Amino acid sequence: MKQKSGEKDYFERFTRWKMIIIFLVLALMLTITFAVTIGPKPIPPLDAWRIIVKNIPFIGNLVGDGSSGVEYSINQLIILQIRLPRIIAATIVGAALAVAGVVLQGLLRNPMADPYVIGISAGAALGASIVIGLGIGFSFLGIDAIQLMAFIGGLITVFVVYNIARTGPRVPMLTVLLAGIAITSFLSAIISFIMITLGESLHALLFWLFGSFTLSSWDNMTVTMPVIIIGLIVIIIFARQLNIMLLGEDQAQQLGVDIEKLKKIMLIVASLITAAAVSISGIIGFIGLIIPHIARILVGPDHRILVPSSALAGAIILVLCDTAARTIMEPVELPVGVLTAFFGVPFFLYLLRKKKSLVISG
Amino acid sequence: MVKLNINGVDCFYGSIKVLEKIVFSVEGGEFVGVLGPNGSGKTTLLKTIGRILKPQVGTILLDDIDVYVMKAIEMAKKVAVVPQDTSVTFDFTALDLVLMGRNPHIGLFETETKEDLAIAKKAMELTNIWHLADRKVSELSGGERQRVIIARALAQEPKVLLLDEPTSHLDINYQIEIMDLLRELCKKKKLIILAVFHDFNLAARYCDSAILLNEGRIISIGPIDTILTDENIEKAFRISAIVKRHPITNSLYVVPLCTSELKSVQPRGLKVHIICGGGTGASLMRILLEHGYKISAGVLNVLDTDYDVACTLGIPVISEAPFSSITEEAHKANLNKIDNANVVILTDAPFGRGNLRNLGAAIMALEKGVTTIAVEEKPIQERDFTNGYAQASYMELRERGAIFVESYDQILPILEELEDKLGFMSKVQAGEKNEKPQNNL
Amino acid sequence: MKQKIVAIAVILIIIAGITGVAIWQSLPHEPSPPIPFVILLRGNVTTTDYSPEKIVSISPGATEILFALGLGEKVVGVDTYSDYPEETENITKVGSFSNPNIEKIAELNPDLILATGGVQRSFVDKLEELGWGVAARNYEEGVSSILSNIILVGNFTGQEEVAETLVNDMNKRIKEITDKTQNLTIEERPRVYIEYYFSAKGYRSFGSTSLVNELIYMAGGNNVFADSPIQHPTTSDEQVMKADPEVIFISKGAMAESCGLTPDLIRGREGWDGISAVKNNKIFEIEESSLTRPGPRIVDALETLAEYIHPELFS
Repeated sequence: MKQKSGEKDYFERFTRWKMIIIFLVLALMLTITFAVTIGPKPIPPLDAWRIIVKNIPFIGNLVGDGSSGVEYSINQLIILQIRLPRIIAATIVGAALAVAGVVLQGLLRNPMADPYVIGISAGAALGASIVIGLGIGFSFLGIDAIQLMAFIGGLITVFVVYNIARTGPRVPMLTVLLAGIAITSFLSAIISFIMITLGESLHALLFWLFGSFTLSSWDNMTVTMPVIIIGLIVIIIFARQLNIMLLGEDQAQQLGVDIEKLKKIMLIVASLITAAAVSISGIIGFIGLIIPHIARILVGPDHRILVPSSALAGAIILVLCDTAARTIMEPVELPVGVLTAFFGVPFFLYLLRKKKSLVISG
Repeated sequence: MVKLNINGVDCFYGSIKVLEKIVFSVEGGEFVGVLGPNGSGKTTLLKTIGRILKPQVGTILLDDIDVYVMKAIEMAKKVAVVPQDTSVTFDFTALDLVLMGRNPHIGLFETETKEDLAIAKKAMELTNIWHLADRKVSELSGGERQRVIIARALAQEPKVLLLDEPTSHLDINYQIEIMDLLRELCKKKKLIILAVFHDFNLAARYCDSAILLNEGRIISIGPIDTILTDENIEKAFRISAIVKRHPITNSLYVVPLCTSELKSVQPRGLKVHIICGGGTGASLMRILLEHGYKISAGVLNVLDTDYDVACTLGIPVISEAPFSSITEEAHKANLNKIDNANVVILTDAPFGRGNLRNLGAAIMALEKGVTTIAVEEKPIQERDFTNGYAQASYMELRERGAIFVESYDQILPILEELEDKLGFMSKVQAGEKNEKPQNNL
Repeated sequence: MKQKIVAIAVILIIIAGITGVAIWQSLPHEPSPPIPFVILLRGNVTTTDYSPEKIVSISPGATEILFALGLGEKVVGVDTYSDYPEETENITKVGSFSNPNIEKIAELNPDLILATGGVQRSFVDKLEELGWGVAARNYEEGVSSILSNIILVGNFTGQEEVAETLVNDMNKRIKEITDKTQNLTIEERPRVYIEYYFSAKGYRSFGSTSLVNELIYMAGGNNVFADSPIQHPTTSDEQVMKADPEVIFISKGAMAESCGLTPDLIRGREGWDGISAVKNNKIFEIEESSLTRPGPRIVDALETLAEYIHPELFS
């Protein structure tokens, strides 16, 4: 991407960034519309949007009724309770995983990092295994047991990894990475062990592990959506400092960045949004690893544009993958994780060939 | 005016002490060099002052505030660092990188303003890289990158600049340019500049004062003239060198001679007297000295460069006053020296009326049976300014059995043969002779 | 340092917890929770006048029950495993047994949905969210549960009489067999081994918690794996030879087909020629779907088993 310099040209970049964001937001809206209309029952886009808008408080009253009757109420049910929740879930999970990936790649200065390296996925999976294994079925404040335990499991694991790596007030990121990998292997072994003892429920656990949005409901998102949105906002606030972190911790510190505070905040927020995402949909791979690279190739390394772009790109791609997952082999649903790999990787390789380089840090 | 005080600082890497009892103070407007051999702690010193490596003992005070109590951002407003390693492989442009220098002045919720950009631009113009503003840093050469980092440091508008070999990758023209710039800023804006140098000459030219480190301790500190001395360099670097003042720039410069390793060569018994002049004896004197021979020289006029060299090398020399021919006294002293020598070497110096007597001395050496070697890289015809007397003397030298060689290379083997013959060689030297390749003159 | 200790302590607690759970799970006298048969009705049903026009079944057993009660025409959607009777071929498929497609079900907008718990539990929850209330859950297990399920379905579809007739009929046939077999002693019960699949890991059979186990017992035999708490135990040559079954059945279904499990194959297994069932050529095949599906054909399976296990009593 050729950027221009010179005083006024430099500030053009902010305008350019705004354009990119607007473009991506529109693309997301388009994708959501497209996804909402796709399904076993064809529903025309206009009807779909009317149904959605009608149900937004206040604004809804401004829109007139379309059709009514049984047909309408079925459409409404399908859109609002089946398709829309999973589309919105895919949006926030895609955004969360992509941004968490950006943060981790920046903190670790490693292009191979994804949000799961610090142990969240293994911890969440363990939480889910325990619930499924014990056959627990409670609901706590509308959040179901699996989701709750996955979230808690993920966070506890990150807490453990963080504390293993910490020496005094400092957190060496390389140690965090190694501890994360070690703990992940360890927990995976435990999960395999649990799987052997499971009988019928093995299938349910595997289903969860592969990641899917099949059973997404609004309940899943009452707590997780605000967590993710706030998390994304916090990360964007610190985006400029993340740029400087890429120079290395010593240099960043000498340029005035409080590196320990930044690492702590970023790790906590990235963990929260990842754990929240995983608790909604299970473990979906590739988004956190590849979307940041795709975004970096298209918009550049500046986190101030990279983070929001990754969020939107992640959302768009995950919604598309989920839509494909539920339509390709209808009526059987494929796990989303299969599709993210299937489509994400070739697209990434294509971009890589065009760009011929994959650099983010020294 | 900004001031920096380092009070009794000890630094450790783990349990290894890398800096010990570091004490010094610097004020704004001072350009201080940090010198010393590898591993002496120069980079560590910068690190600890730069708030990266906290000392176990002692404090570092910037304007009376302990830097380790300050927040990183407060420190960054006052101190900018140019590290040694500038390798970078990310896609930021040069301008992006320099603008990062403005970070300490930009709040969390703010972005760069026009003013920030102007400051960055100014810094890049001063370091001559504004034309590279849109280029990716990873695509720049080492030297260009180094200047980007320097520009970034300048963009911080610091009061203190810590630089670790800031010009190591730069071409000589940029070296001078950057150093001139730094010195100017130092003086004009009353900055403190602490720079690690490997190049003494550069340090000598730009630093007001210097700190010489060795094995983690300060072995000398003070004005650059007092730091750059033969003894200090020998003590810290274990090399013999000569520090001279350059006639044109008036700054000191260092001339390394040889490593102490060679200096510990066994002194040979053979005594050599060199008759030279006009610069022809300089390298010969040095080489023979390095090989351990006892040398004397004469007669040399005090304005002759060979005289200068002889004095510098500490060789006993018979001298003569400027503009005068060789007097009887000097001649006699010369002959004395020749009496005490085993070998006389006559270089292919130019001969005029003033030093014609030296040829006479050489002839007398032969009369007394002292082996005389005459070098004739340049034929006597071309260096005879005596209307033929010198040539005649040369003919006599031939008749009397002087050994004529056509190049200086041939001297050492002859000397060794002579040593053999006269039974001077010790066992060590015998061993050396078999192993070492011959030195070229 | 303190927090490192906390971290390690947390890991140890987790390990201890998991190990405890695993041990508890695999203890023989702790069965896994029963899987209920679930009936869902659209909306909040308060009337007792059930006459659904559109029925969806995502359980193959329930599908067969519906057809047996003459409700086949009202069935608008089934899962992909519901393949009996033939008419099911033309019915819209709404996903697999373990992964039903909620949207397709919603689109069909059924009045009545028949499902199970277990792997379908979360789907049932989702359906509840969408407005289908669970009207009944039957936690009974075993052959008797099938009969009560039939009655239940009859109640919710206005087919009480048909259901009753069917159940009576089934009971009669069952009684004909169990009258002769329920008092048989262990010695009088032939050892029976049923296999449905094999791989490099071993041979798969049916354990104590399976329906098959009960059927074997009712048929007058003794399942060699009657003591195994696992529903589908894996076994080896050694164990089978040690158990020395007198009758071997192959449960003929998709899995057996996929590995080529036939009587000839069993006869050909090394060392198996010493097993009584092989020596006496008592290797039989039995249709898997009737054997394992909780539907009306379970009685057919029972009769088949009885015939082969006690030919002297039944023919």
